[in-house]
Amino acid sequence: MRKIALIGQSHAVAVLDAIADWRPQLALLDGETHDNFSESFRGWFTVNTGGRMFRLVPRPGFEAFAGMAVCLLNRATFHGELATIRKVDGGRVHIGVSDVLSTFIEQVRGCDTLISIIYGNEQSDMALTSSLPEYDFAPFDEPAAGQPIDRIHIANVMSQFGSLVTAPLACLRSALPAAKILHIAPPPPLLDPGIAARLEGFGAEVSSGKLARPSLRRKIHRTYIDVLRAQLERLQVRVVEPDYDAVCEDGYLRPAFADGLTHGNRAYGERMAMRIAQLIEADA
Amino acid sequence: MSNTPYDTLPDEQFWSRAVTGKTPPAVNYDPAPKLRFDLRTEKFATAGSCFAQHFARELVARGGQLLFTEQRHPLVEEEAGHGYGLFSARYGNLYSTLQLRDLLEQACGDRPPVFDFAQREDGRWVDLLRPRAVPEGFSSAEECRADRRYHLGQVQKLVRDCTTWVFTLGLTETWMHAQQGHAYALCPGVAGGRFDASVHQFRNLDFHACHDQLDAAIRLLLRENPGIKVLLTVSPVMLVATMEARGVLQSSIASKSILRAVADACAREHAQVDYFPSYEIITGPQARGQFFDVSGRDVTAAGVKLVMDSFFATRVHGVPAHAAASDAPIPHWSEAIQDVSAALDAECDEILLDRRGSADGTAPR
Repeated sequence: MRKIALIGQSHAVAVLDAIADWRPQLALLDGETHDNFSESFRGWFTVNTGGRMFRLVPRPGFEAFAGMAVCLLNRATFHGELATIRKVDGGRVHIGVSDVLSTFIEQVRGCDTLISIIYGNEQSDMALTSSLPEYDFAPFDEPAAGQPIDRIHIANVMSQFGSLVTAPLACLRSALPAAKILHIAPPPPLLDPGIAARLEGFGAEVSSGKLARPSLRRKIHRTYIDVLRAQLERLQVRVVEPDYDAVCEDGYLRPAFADGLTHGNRAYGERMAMRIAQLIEADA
Repeated sequence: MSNTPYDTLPDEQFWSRAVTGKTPPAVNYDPAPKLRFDLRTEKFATAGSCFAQHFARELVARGGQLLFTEQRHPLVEEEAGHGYGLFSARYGNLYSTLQLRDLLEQACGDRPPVFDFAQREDGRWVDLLRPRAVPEGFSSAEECRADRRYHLGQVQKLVRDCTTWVFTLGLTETWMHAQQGHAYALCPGVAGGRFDASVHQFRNLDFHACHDQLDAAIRLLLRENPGIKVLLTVSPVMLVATMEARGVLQSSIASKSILRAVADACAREHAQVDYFPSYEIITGPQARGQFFDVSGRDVTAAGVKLVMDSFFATRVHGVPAHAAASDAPIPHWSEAIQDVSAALDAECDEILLDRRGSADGTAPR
């Protein structure tokens, strides 16, 4: 039997909802809700696992995840980042590891498959809360809107976001040199944020119209994934893209698959879970 | 003793009283200015050869408001290589009057934008009309194109928003596209692109050509911004290399003489155009060459300071009390100042001609 582990943050909720009835194991059912978030996030705001894991009992149809150990992390409940990369003397790279990630690493040794659904909303923050002067980057809108910025500068910003994912996965790759590691990319943006029933932390921006235009949000998301893939390829970590069926032809998330402004819902999670299951089975 | 028209002329119009026996700072170089500037309200735009960069820097250091319509976007890293802050927009050095006219006509819609790009050996793309204006280059031709469109829009905004356009005439020798007629800042191949003798054509603008181009550019500025003032200067910086079959010194003096005459003509012909004699301050016999550096080609900081001291003494009022010459700390009124200072550390890009020539032993062709 395969040993599968999952480490995830808020984007993991949709996938977990698809796979199992997992909330009782974290005693989330009696937790608080928040006006800006759907019922899916009940209890999320205070969940504090400290990096410890629980075992998932999958629903029928998701047996590929049988026995999967899950570590769910709410960023608000630990200080700093999961891991940080910095250059030290001589150009060497030093990776600092947080306590929660250390705890997780100790538990996953021996795993043959690791699923990562960490971070991913930083690019949404950039696109949605942008107070920046109008800008555009390739492929440019027609006509181009605002100041054109060379893609290397956008990629540099995305690279910083990507390093939030890359640093902990570098630690995990070190601990699991032979494991199959999959990183699940966040869903693309909605074409019209106004249709989101829950605006998460972006209510003020949506109501005031201070949102980047849709094409820019879509391009930022695309660049984020491209940069992330380039970074993670070096770690032999596969990036799993948003499910095609959940995405419109023009690249936006179909409203039927959205939970709030930036997250996928259970239907989205089901699509992603099926893709993940296929990838777990592949070459097994 | 008979009276002559000279009898009533002021001292400044007599060499013996204006120049003889005076140190350079004691000479009144600019006794009868046509245009004056209120530093509190004037919004300057600067363009031209590399001497215009010195002018821009000193202007800002002394409290002048230099317009920048192209500024670094917050998503672009704060480091050199992006070309911001050197001039009011990212056009780089505009050495010839032909370049100025080309740029203004494209910016103001009188001719279609020119898209003439090339890929460098490092894989980055350059706009051959301003190959050094954006030192880091672009990721693709698509980005070159988008940036050029944006750049031209910002130049038009600059023309409309500024109150004074300062243009420093630099060279008469230029390179043109033989079929399309647009002018290059540098010979293609020097800082990007590949020289093609069937496409890239050398031209040395004579007085009439130079004058016609500048006159057209001035008319365009006045059409877009009827209240604009235009201040012309001639760069005293000598040529790095000449394509004419004669010595570089001879070509330099010929070139500067033509430019000086063109500036004189345009200042006489247009009420809103004036000439400031920075060229004379640096190159005149009263200076005895002391304002050229050891190469005899470029201008020293002391020379630039004297030019600006003279400019402020005769042309400028409303100078804030804290404003001082450039050896005083630069006031932090704008982020752009930092960009200007950093950018001025860069060399005039015409020097690339010489660098390349000495590297492979051949003159650029």
